[in-house]
Amino acid sequence: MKNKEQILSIDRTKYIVTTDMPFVNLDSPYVKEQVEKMNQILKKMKSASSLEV
Amino acid sequence: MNKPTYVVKSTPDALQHIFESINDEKIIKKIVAFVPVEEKPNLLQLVFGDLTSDGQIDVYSVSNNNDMRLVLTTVIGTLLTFFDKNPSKTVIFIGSTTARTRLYRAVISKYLKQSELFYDIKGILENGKSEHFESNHVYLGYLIKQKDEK
Repeated sequence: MKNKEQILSIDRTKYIVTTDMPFVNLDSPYVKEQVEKMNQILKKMKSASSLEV
Repeated sequence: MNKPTYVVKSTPDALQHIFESINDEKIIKKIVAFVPVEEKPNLLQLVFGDLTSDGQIDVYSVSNNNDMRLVLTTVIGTLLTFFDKNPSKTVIFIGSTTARTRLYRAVISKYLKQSELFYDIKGILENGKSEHFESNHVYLGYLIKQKDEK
């Protein structure tokens, strides 16, 4: 049986784990806006009782 | 043959992934971040965009770097890496615009639908209900969870 890598056939050899990463500001307006949009969707899901996580 | 991707740098917890979209004229730093959702410890939001010089994620940027397929394949690879490290988590993602949410639907249909043996993929409907992903339905966003290994 094929595994998920074979099914998706994505080359995973170029993914390098490192702690040497540039600074990423997750409190920036762009991210906050995305989070807010998602919160609105989660609210709808909660009202529809479809939020299982 | 495996689909090619860009070289990706990932944090050890697989919550952040950075790569460069490259063509002859410009190089654009891209980031995929999995942002924890408040009060939902098993849920993370996938945020994707350009990484600006001051560390912001510009989710509205339109690169026009003629490498969309390569970029999207790379992003899907980050999702696989995320689930390797965080197998019990659920990822929610929405497009920054309606057009991008539609693009994500096309990406799921093309690339991820075939992997349903390994992932639960749900679409979130306008009324807040979620359903098993259908390629021809309109969704507000998407939920992806890795199925338990048997």
